Amino acid sequence: MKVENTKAQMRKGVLEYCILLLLKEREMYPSEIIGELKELHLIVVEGTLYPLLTRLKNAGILSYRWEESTSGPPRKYYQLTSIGSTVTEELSKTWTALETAVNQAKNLNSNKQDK
Amino acid sequence: MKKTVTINLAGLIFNIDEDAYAHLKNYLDTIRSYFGESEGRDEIMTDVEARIAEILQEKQKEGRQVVIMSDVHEVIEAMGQPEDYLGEEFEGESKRSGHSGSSHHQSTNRRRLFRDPDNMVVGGVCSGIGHYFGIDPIWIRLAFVVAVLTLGTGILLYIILWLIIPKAKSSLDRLEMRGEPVNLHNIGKTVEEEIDNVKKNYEDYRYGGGYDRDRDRVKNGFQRFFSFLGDIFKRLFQAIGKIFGLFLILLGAIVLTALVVGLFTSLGQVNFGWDEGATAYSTLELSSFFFDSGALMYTAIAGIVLLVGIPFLALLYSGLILLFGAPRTGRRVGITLTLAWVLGIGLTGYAALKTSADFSKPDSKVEKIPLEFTEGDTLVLNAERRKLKLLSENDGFEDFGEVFKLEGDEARLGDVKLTIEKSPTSNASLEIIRSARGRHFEEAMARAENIDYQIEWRANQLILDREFTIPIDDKWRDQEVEIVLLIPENHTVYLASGLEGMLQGVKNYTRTKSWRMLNHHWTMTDSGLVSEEILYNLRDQIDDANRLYEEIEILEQEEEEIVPDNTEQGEELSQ
Repeated sequence: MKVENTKAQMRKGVLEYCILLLLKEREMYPSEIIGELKELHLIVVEGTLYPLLTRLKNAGILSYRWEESTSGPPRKYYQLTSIGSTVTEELSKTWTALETAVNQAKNLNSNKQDK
Repeated sequence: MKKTVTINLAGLIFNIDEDAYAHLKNYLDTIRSYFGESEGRDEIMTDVEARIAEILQEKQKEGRQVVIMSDVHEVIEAMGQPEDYLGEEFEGESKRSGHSGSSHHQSTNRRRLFRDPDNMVVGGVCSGIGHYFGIDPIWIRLAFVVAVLTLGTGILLYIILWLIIPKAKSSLDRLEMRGEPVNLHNIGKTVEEEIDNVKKNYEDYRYGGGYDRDRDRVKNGFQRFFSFLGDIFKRLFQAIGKIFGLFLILLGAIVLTALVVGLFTSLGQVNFGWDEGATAYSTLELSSFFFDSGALMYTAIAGIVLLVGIPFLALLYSGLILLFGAPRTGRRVGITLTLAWVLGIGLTGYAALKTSADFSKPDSKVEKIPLEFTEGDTLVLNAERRKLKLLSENDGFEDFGEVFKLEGDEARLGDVKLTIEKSPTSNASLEIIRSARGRHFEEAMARAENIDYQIEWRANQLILDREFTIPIDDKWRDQEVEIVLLIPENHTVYLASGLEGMLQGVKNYTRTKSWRMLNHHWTMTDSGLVSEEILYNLRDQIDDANRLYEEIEILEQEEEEIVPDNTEQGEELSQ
């Protein structure tokens, strides 16, 4: 069955939005982002994040700056660009709309079942 | 105890166990290959490496100095399997891997066409096509060979395919090539397979030469160019090698087949003579007539088979190596072949020595038959193949080819020679000299006496037999019959056409060649055999020549004007 596939697709869309939401609050470096996302159970493995960050950066949504680390290699601190902020706004609207739609769909279904 | 490797990961130095290094390197290589040529690959790889360095450094804080296998396993567990990198990202790429967002089994396995580097003969094209259609590549190869042999276009097609089909480089490529689902399990399996290769390569690198690092540094543009050229040539030579290998296989197979067919079937026949009387014999029949015993014969045959067969078997084998690469058993095969060949030399040598001993001593028996004919009479000398007389009379056709025939317990041989000499007495006589060879003179004499040879008077003609027979058990030991006709002076002999091929170096006054002496009367004189007819002909020719000398001033032209036939005889006389 393709249920795993569908789940992955859903998670994929949400993942991107969540990263933007995290970075909207403050700039973060990948390990931090991973920690947060793991807590949210949005990603299982770290490898997934790097290509995503690179793509968002290349799309002009994110930018980064280097910062020396005391305990390891220098870190890339990511932040939202102005485009990124706009995109995040739009995604938030879409998310709200989707949430509503999904809820309505659920209610519709349960209403029918009630009858 | 384990060897460690020093690596630089995102600017940090790590000491890492060899096996762990191989695993990590393979992991990174696989990820890299997953991204193909996509934009941002290097950046992603840098980020990934930085993160791995971070994780490893965390581990080191626990006090251990060396990165071990379990660390790498933990890193991979945290970072995810290679397909996870694509899972949420790279829409186009992830399609290629069949939406492997999860590590679960995928039902859609799209195959892609790659050249298979693991199973290639020339360029891995056929193998790759085989994978693509899910059939054994041998059929594709066969089709190509047929195409090359029949149409000749196969080579061009192959080269084009070689150029346009990419080689399967990564684990992902290989899985897709085989149409196996791209998932965690399979990737892991393929990665494990490749780790061994990487490890091996790495060891080669280490033990191959410590100056490799220096070499990298001094590898300037020129060297790169030449190494590029070298690669091209290497590939070219590999291809030529394969073609050469194919040629060797064909050659070896043909010769070996011929050898086996020739020796052990009735197809390998040897013809003696070329008329109806001549029969074809298999090698075994002939050999049994030659070798003293069956054991010796089989020794000789086995020896020759090995002696001749092994080199061609070796050719065939080296052809196979060129085509398919050297197997592990190569050394053993080589040694076996060499030993077998030496055995062949031994067997052949033994049989040859043993048999040549049978030829060591010659002896002959002379039988003298007085001939009753007086001065002025003419002796007509002719020869027939006694046993085939009827045949010869019916179609009036004589065959003078060498005769060899096995008839029951007899062998008929056609080795009869005739010479004519001046009789030391006033009587004419015929000497029949039967000769043979053996281990000792008694044996040779016994064989010579076993030669059955008959002459026959018919009307005024003395008919010689062109053939003699020997018991088959005597074996062939150079049995010969030589007939010497001794005629006193002023006696004449007519050499009939049946003698053709039997006359051997008959001395005569005009130095006429033996085969020209037939169908003429020859009289013994004090200066040797003289034929009036030939003398007369020669005088005619000399007269003609003299006339030509007078007519034509330039000497050189004379040879061209006269028919060559006449010229020769003219010269003979003038000598």
